[in-house]
Formats: sequence, structure tokens, C-alpha cells
Amino acid sequence: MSGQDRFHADLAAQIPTLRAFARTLSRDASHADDLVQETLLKAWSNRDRFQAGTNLRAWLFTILRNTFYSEFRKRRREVEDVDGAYVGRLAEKPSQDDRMALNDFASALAELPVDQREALVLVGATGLSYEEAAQVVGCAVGTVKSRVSRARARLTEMLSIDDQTGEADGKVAAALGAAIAPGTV
Amino acid sequence: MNDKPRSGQAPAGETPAADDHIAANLRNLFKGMEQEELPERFRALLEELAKKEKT
Repeated sequence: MSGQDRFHADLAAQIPTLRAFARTLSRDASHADDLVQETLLKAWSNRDRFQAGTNLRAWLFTILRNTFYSEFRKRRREVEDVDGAYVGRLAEKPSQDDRMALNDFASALAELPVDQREALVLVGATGLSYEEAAQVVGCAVGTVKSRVSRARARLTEMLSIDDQTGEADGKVAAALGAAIAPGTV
Repeated sequence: MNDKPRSGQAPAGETPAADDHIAANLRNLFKGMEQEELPERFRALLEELAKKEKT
């Protein structure tokens, strides 16, 4: 396989994760897909600048994030999920309760400031280390840690998670019974 | 140093129980989005880019 073919395959393999990351940033599924497309175009045209052996995922996240914030600055306001479609499409779960619980979590996540949201997702869901996340975001490791900590504290508050039992008010707890292994956050 | 957060590791001021709760939901949510069917546009785009490169 040529270097170009390998890069092509590696790029294709990252699309699902890129798309999920874009959705957590933009909160609008259609806009998120546009961000992914723009990221793929930029990555392809700048592939000679990617250092083989380094973290392609982190490099792509950086491109996607820069694209998002560049647009964000131009528009000065984030696209809103006016019809709630984002939340409704986030997860398909076996039961209605589980789906409602995930949607509660998704709604709470979407309420976080975008800098906290992206830090939490990069560290907690994409598999990046704090150092890699800090490189993607372009800030100090301590800043990422602080944002993640604030994000978790805010989510805990919004979801009314019981400090002693870890149980959330109502529905969120149901999602945890869906055989999901504890994460790395 | 690879300062990777570990399972069960909660930041100061936060209980492990709350941490596990958030971690599980976050990963479940993200995994759900990753597993969604991809639109055709991405595959078509990459194919087109590769084709242009070869011509």
C-alpha cells in the first residue's frame, strides 16, 4: 500500500470519531457534517504536513476545531438546535427509559460552555491524553484539567447525581444498566 | 509524561460515584454517535480526492 493509500485509509477510519466530535462541538448535525467534510479536505491538501507516526486523530481534531472556531468567530454565534433534532438522534438505546436517560445527559452536555464540552469529550470520549487534548485545544495541560473538572462538576449538578450513591434523579441511572463499561474520565 | 486519566479516577472535589456516572454516559453517548451510519458524501469525497491525485 502506498503512503497515499495508507493516508486515505487512515483518514476514512477516523471519520466516525471526527463526526462525533463535530457533533459535540456544533450541536447541529448538518453543520457537524459540513465541518467533517471541510476537515477532510484540509487534511488531504495538507497531508504532507502530517508527521507519520504521530497521532492522526489529534491532528484531525485540531483541524476540525480550528475550522469550527474560525466559523464561530465569523458568525459570532453558534447554530442552535432549534428543533431538538440533535438530541433526538444522539443515541438509540434498547428501551425508552435508557434513551430518555441518554437524552438527558446529551441535553446537559449541550448546555456546557463549548470550551468545557470539548475538553471533556476529548479526554473522556476520544481516548486522548490530557497532553494530547491540550495540544489540540492549544492551551496548557492544567487548563484542560480545569475545564474537565468544571465540566464534570456542572454535569453532576445539572443531572442531580447523588454524591454518595452515584445515582441520578430519575432517568439517567437507567442508562448505566445498559451494560456500558465504566469509562476513563 | 503521559498524563492519561484512568478509570475510577475522580478529580479533587468530585466523588468517584459521580465520576463513573458521567464517564459511562459520556462514552455511551459518543459511541452511539460513532456507530451511526455515515453519509455517502464522505466516502465519495475521499474517493474523488484520491482519483484527482492519480490523474
